[in-house]
Amino acid sequence: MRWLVLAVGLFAIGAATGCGPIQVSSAVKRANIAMSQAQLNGWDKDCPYEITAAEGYLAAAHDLIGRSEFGAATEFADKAARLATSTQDNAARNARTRQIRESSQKETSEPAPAFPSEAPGTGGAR
Amino acid sequence: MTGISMLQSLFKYPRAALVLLAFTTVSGCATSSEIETGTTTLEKLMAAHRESLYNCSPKALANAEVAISLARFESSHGRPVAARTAMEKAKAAVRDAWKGSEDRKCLPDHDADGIPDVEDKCPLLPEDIDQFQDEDGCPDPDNDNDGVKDVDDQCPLEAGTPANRGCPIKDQDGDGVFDNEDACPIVPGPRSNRGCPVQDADKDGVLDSEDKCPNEAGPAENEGCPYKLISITNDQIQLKQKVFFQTAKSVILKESFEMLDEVAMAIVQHSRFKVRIEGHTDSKGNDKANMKLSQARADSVRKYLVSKGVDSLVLTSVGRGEDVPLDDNSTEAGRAVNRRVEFLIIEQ
Repeated sequence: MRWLVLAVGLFAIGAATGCGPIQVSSAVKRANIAMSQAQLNGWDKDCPYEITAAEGYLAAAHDLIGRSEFGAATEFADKAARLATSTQDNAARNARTRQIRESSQKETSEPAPAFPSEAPGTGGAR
Repeated sequence: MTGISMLQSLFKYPRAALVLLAFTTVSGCATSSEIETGTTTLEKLMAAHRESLYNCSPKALANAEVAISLARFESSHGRPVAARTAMEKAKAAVRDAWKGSEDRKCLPDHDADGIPDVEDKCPLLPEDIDQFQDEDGCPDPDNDNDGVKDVDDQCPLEAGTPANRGCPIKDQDGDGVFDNEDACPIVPGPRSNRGCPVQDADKDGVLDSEDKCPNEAGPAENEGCPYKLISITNDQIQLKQKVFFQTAKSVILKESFEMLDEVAMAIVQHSRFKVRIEGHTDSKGNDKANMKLSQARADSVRKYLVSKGVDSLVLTSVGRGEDVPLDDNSTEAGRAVNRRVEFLIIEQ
């Protein structure tokens, strides 16, 4: 009986202290993978906002891990992952927008196609 | 002093502890409230101009948002100093973002016509940049409102007709013939000559369009052609041939009709002419008879001219007999010269 209590106690302690680090490391890993993909595919060049924010949130997550703030660190790492992932969609749209702007400045007499309707900057700090 | 010894000393001095607690609480609340207000203000500021910040200061915008999140987090976890630090970073980042997005091109411009939505009366329709009302942001497909679209309008700033490709029909030479019908649009000319000036190549005063002999000077009464058998001087209608009569009679021979017809035409056209027809003979024969014959012949000519339409009032006829010879009557040639009819212009 004593052993059982001890095992449950140890499990509870482990769960209480171990879950946070496990979750955060998983979130950080996701964020890192997403950022690597963005850089590998060149999406980061067309998404300076998303990639800079992702880097900022990831740095904050690391900082919070150092202070054992695993919950907040996970939250920040998740944001970083979302932002880095969003570069895949936003890169094409931003590149097209830039193209339109450049062409409208060069050949102003030609009517430009309509601007994409969706709002830029998904996954902002909230 | 360790933490335990600090606590012990606080318990020894409860009043001091209360004061310290109150200060800490008040300062903490104040900091938390300040952070909340500050971050909310920054967020509102950024939200109002998010698109321009996103377009032109994406990194600063990202840094500001991360710093705001951190400031909130630190504040909510009771770490006012860290919160303040993050807040200051956020402020600095927002300032940077603002500076970077001051350019007009950073403002939202949904139709991408280079005119920001705030100044664009038609934010979803791109302006057609064509030097005509380009500042309002609205396209003007027919600048001059003449019903001809600018793309097909060769004069997009001047109202014209579709038939003239949108250009106004002008009359550059002001001759009353519009350029589209004017074969000579910059030289005035009458409509009858398709707007071209009427020429008078032979300078006879008869325009080429009415001149049957445009390259030979001739009077208007002869349709611009020169007389063949007569000429008009200041005081005389001169004949290039003689008027032939039957011998010793006043009957005019046929071969002189054509020439006398020209004389009749000249007198009719010169309505102010008054002409004296003089008959002359040579010196052969009786003077009285010669006088009589010359009068008869002058009368005969006058009668012929009247028959051709000449007003009888402008003609007089006189027989001069042998009194006014032009040449020597002792030779045949001289006498031939002296036998003549003259048309003297006595009034014009």
